[in-house]
Amino acid sequence: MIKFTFLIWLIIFLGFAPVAEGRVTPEDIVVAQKESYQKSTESYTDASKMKLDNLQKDILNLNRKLTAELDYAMVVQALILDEFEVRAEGKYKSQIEDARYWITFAHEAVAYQAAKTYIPRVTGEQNFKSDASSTIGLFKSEIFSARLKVFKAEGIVKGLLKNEF
Amino acid sequence: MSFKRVAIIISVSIILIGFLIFKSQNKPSEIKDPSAANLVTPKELPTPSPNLPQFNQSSNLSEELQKVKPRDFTPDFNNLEKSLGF
Repeated sequence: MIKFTFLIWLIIFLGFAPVAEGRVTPEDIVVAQKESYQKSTESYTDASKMKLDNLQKDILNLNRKLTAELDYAMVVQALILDEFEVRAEGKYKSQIEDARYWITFAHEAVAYQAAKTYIPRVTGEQNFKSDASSTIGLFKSEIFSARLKVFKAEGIVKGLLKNEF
Repeated sequence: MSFKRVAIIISVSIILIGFLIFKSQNKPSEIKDPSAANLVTPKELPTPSPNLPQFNQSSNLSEELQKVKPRDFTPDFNNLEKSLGF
């Protein structure tokens, strides 16, 4: 009986411990990136540090501007769908639900993008241009991905509006 | 089962549970999920413009949808790179 109990607990312990080890939150990753960034730029000149700070601020401001535009588009798409639903008077229910799903999906993707922070991956003071290009490239691909989702939702609503009354 | 055996099982169980709780509260030092990088808890989500359109029976919904079609962001990135001196 004791051996059996020990065996059960050993299995639970071995199963649980790796899960506890692997639990990393996004905030952990950002904190680790910030620490790595601060460590890497410790020896940089003030001028180089300023350039990197300005890069981060510019990316942050541009991300806010572009996600605000995408967010507005999503809100309007939702209002358009609401008006269509009123006019449909009970028709096209499944298509409306489908469109609503994709609008919500895209809206969440935009909110997710808006919350992102971009910490430059620095490889050396002399590599500012390539480091900045790499960070901008990552930001660009992610914002364009969010934009594509907005496009997809727009396409679905557009298809539904062909039945416009 | 004797009292002694029960006491041993309970003691060992408590020690193991305590160890598991301790493990779950320890933050891991190695990053295991780089795909979730660049994320923070949303603090400043974009707020939609207060000037939202109002639709009614006479609104042309297709035209209104066309107005909010996402534009190409490439010029914004070109300007960003230009401002950095690239």
